[in-house]
Formats: sequence, C-alpha cells, structure tokens
Amino acid sequence: MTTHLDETLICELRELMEDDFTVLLDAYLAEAPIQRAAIETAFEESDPEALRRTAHSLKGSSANIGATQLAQICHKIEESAHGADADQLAMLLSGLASEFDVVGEEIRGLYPA
Amino acid sequence: MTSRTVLIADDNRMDRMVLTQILRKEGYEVLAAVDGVEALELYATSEPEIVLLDALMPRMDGIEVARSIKQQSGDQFVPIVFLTSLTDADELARCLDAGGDDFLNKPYNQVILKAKLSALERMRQLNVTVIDQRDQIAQHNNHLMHEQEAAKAVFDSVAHTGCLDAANIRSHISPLAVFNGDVLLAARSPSGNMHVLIGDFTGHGLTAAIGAMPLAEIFYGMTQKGFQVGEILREINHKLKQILPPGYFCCAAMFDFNFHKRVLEFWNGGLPPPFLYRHETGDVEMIPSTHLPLGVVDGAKFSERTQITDMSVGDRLFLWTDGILESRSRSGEMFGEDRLREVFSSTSESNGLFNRLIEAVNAHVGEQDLDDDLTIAAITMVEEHEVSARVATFEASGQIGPEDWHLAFELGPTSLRVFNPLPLLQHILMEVPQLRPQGGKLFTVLSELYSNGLEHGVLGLDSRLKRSAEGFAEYYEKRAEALATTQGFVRFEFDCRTSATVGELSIRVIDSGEGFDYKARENVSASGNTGYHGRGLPLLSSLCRSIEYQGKGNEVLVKMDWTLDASDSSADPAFVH
Repeated sequence: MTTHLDETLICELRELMEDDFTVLLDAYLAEAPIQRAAIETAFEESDPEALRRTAHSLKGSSANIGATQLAQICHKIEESAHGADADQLAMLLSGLASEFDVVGEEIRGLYPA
Repeated sequence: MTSRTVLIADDNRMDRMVLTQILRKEGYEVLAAVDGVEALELYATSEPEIVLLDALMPRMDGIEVARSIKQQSGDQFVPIVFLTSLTDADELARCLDAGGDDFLNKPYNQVILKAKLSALERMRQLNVTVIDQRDQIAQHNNHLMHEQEAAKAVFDSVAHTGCLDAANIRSHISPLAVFNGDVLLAARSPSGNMHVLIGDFTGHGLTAAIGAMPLAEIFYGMTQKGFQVGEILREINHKLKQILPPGYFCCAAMFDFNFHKRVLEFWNGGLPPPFLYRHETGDVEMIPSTHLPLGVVDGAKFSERTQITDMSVGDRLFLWTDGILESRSRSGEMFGEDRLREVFSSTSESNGLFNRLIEAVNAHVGEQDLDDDLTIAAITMVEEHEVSARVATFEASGQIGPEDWHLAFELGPTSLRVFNPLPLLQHILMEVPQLRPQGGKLFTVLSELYSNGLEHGVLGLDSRLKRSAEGFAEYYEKRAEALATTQGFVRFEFDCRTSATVGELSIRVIDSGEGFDYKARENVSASGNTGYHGRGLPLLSSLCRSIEYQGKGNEVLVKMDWTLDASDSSADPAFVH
C-alpha cells in the first residue's frame, strides 16, 4: 500500500516498462539522491538559479515515477528560488527531506519480493 | 516500411527510459541523447522525423537545439515537442519562438503522447505533400515556360519570314520571352502590293501560339500566291474556327497597300481602330472594327467584306493591339484613346509620330516597363519604287512543265461576283519553268488585264471618278452595285509556245462590255498617260512586248516573249520586251 505514490501511474509504468520496470526504479533511486543533494548544495551556496534548475530536475523525475507530492514540493522550490527568503526556502527544503525519505521507502517496496 | 525515427534529448535517465519505451511500443525507432550537443550530433547523422526535447539541459539547452534543427531542416517539417513541466509563460513563449510545435508535460502519459505524435505525423505528412506539390508545380511551371519559349521561337521563325523590315514599315513588338498573343505580319504579294496583318489572340502562351502558326502560314502562303485580303481572311477564319477551343479567337485587322494605285484595302475584326494619318492635313481617320474577330463564326456567317480608301504618298497607317490603350501608369490608369489622340494632334511632323507615340506610352507607364506588352506598327504609303521589289517567287518544283499549250477560261456572272481567278491562273502559268522567275510581273499583268476587263469592260465604270477622294469612294460603291447585278463575263485565252531557248506567251482578255474607242486614245497615249488613267496601260506596256486592243475595244491581246541565254539555260531567263 502506497500513500505517497500515484497508484494508477505506477500500474501504467509497470505495464509499459514490463521487465524494465525495476531498472526504472533503479534509475530513480540512483539519480534522485544526486538531484536532491544538488538542491541542498545550491541552497547552501545561495545560488537561486542552480536551486531553480535542480528543483526543476527532481520535479520531473518525481512526477514521472508518480511521486506527486514530492513533485509539488519541488515545484514550490523552483518557483520560490528567486523570490523567497532563506527561511521560507529552509522550510520547503525540510519538507522535501521528509517527503523524499517516504517516497524512497515506498519505491523500494515496489520491487517484487 | 522503414521504421520512423524519433530523437529524444533529455538529461534525465528515467525520462529517457519511459519515453523510449512508450515510443518503441508505438513502433518508432528511438535515438536518445543526454544533452543538447549530443542531440544535434544525432540529428545530423540520423535525420529523425520527430524530435522530443527537454527544455533545460546541460551544455546546450533545448531552445538552442530547436533553433538549430529548424534552421537545418529548411522546407522540411521536422516537428519538435518540448518535454517540460515549465509553467512560466515567458519560458513557454521562448520555446514556441525557437520552433517548438507542441509541449508534453510530465508525468508522461502514453495516451496523450500517442495522440500528439499522430497529430504531428499528420502535419508532417501534409507538409511533405505540400512541399512535393510545390516542387511539382515549380517543375511544371518551368517545363511550361520552356515550352512557351520554344513555341515563341518557332513562331518567330515562321512570322519573321515576311517584310516587316521594309523601308516603309516601323514596328515595335513586345520583347517578352513568352508569346503574348500578338502577331504582326507583312508580306508582298506577286503584284507588288503589301499585305499587313495585325492580330491579338485571346490568352497568352501556348494556346495563342498554336493559333498563330497556321495564321502566319496561311497569310504568307496565300499572299505569295496572289490571293486577296478577303480570301485570305476567310481561310484563316475557317482554320482558326476549326482548331481553337471555344472562347479562343483572334482580334485582327488586315490591310492591302497598293503602291501603284495608292489604295488601301482594309478589314477590321475586333481590334482597336487603327489611325490613318493624313500627311497633308494632319487629320486622323479611324478604321473602326466592323467585323467579328477571326475564329468566332463558321464560314457561312463570316464576312470578309473589305473597304477601300485612297492614300497619298506620305500618309501613314498606325496599327496597334489593345496593349497600347491598356498600358497602365503606376496608379493603374490606362493610357486610353484620349491620350492616343492627344499625341497625334500635338505632333505636327508625321515622321516623328512613331517615336512620340512610344515615348508617350513609356512616360505614362513610368519606369516599370517590365510588363511591356506593346505591339505597334506604322506603314507609310510611298512611291512604288521606294519599296524594294522583294516579291516572293514561286518555288520551282522541278524543271519540267507544259511547253506548248492553249487555255481558255471564262468567268460567268456568278463567278465574277464571288471568285478571284488570279491565283488559279498564276498557278497554271507558274507550271511553265521559264515563266517562274517572272512571276511577279506576270501577276501584275494578269491583275491589270482582269481589273480592266471587269471594272471598265463588264461593269462599265469610269476610271476618271477615282481622281478625287469622294469619287474614289463612289467608284467602289458603284463597282459593288454593278457587280451584284451584272450578267457579263470575262474570258481569258492563253497561248504558250516554248522551246529550249525561246518562248512566247500571249494573253487575250475578252469582256462582255461595250468596249471603247481605243483608236482615238492611242494619240493621247503618245503625249502622256492621263488618257489611260486606270487602264494601267503604261504599266502593261513596260512589262509586255506588245499590247493591242481589238474588236470594239472589248478585247485586248498582250504578248510577252523571251530568249534564254544558251550557256545558262534555266537559271535566269531574260524577258525581251
């Protein structure tokens, strides 16, 4: 039972990718942490453009794997990167951290037993 | 069928995997690039049909890639879909500006992607069809232009065998490469007259050129054989009616300049009126169209009735097609008849008129003379000796012909009304090889004898009438009246004897008329030629060894003989008068 992933989309992906479904999950699990780290770095270095771009990137992969809420948080970061103050961004980033962990957990749960 | 190729460029491996899988299932061959630079490299080597681009990519972003691909593909439509979750309006506008044809949002949805791809494929096919058809049209057009140029070249070689370069003709013909439908033809008849025909075919190009060929052939062929204006027009009309599709015809006017009698015979079917410029007074007489154009009605309804007017030496006939009247100024105003008349009334000297006319039209049209579609000609009545006697001689079809023969040919009243015997008789005479080089002289002799016999003999017309302009018109009216009711005849008797080196031809013409007191007039003839006005006797006596009136003056016998140079027996028989 997943709560942070879009069930319908996951079904579609499973059907589409067939045997490669787990490869897709592998790819997400390999790339998403790198993208997330890049977001952290951009925030720490106060580079709003890098922040926007990296958030955009994680948003795309997360949306594709059906991690709708994670994608929404990324979207907020992307939109606020240039305007919002550090506190607001810090809040968004902490939201991202917890959602990211939950999503990662649920994805690992998708592998066949 | 070779599989259709799609190029994907996305720096996200997952996105590439999902898209690749969707597209493969749709039967595409997929090329995947990890960034913009690799995308352009793959595009150059594989020429995909559709390109999917992530907008934000390392090294080179999707917008730059799209711009480059659109530039490279040129006419060919390569649909570009931006893979984006961009929501910024400016960013989306930039994608569209760069040549994006559609967007695809994440998460990727198979159904939507499939629908978009097939819509883009339809667009691409449509574009391929349009480009193909455009190329085909361009090719056909090219082909057509070549054909038209060829047709024009053929026509030019047919049309320009005439005497447009004669000293008394000035002409301006549009230099367009493609036949514009205008024809201008001039040729000398065996009697030394000059036939001129100006025509304007409906339409341009091939259809017009197709009609112009037989028109020129008939004009030259029949003029050379001695046929008259009406007969030639009837034949051309018949031919054009036969070959031209419905709705196609030729507005035309034809003229016969008789330099000897200084008479102009004319027929106008549908052309803007030519101007007859009177040298003495500066007056202009218009020759209105009184007939239907050539090729419109069938033979029986066609009227070849010509009219006649006198022309003095120096009088000029100005001819044009409607190109001159319809020449437009920059503001679209046509040159028109008023401006045409203005040129004539403001130019006093007749020699400058032709140039003034061209200048006036050019000034009206301005610098944009690209669509020069003018055909203008001016023919001057000159002294007979001023137009070189470049009269077509009959082609010798072999050197064997009748050597001793007699022929009697009598025309009854109906024949006199409707038939011109001269081409037929000329044709028979030209069967005699020794007479061929003298075709022009013979034709003149025949036509003088015939018109004397018919007009003064059978019809009893008094040639003195023709001395004044009014009398001139009256003369031709009376001629038509008398011809309609005559019961008379004209009879020709030819007698020809030739041997290897000498020959003699006698022509006797007997008419049914009252005759005249030729004995009394012979005395006048010695002192001057006025007494014989209209009988053409000075001309005849310059061409024949002897002329002898007989009976009550209704019979005339002319004799011609010749001796051939024995060393050069066939080439140039010299007449001994």
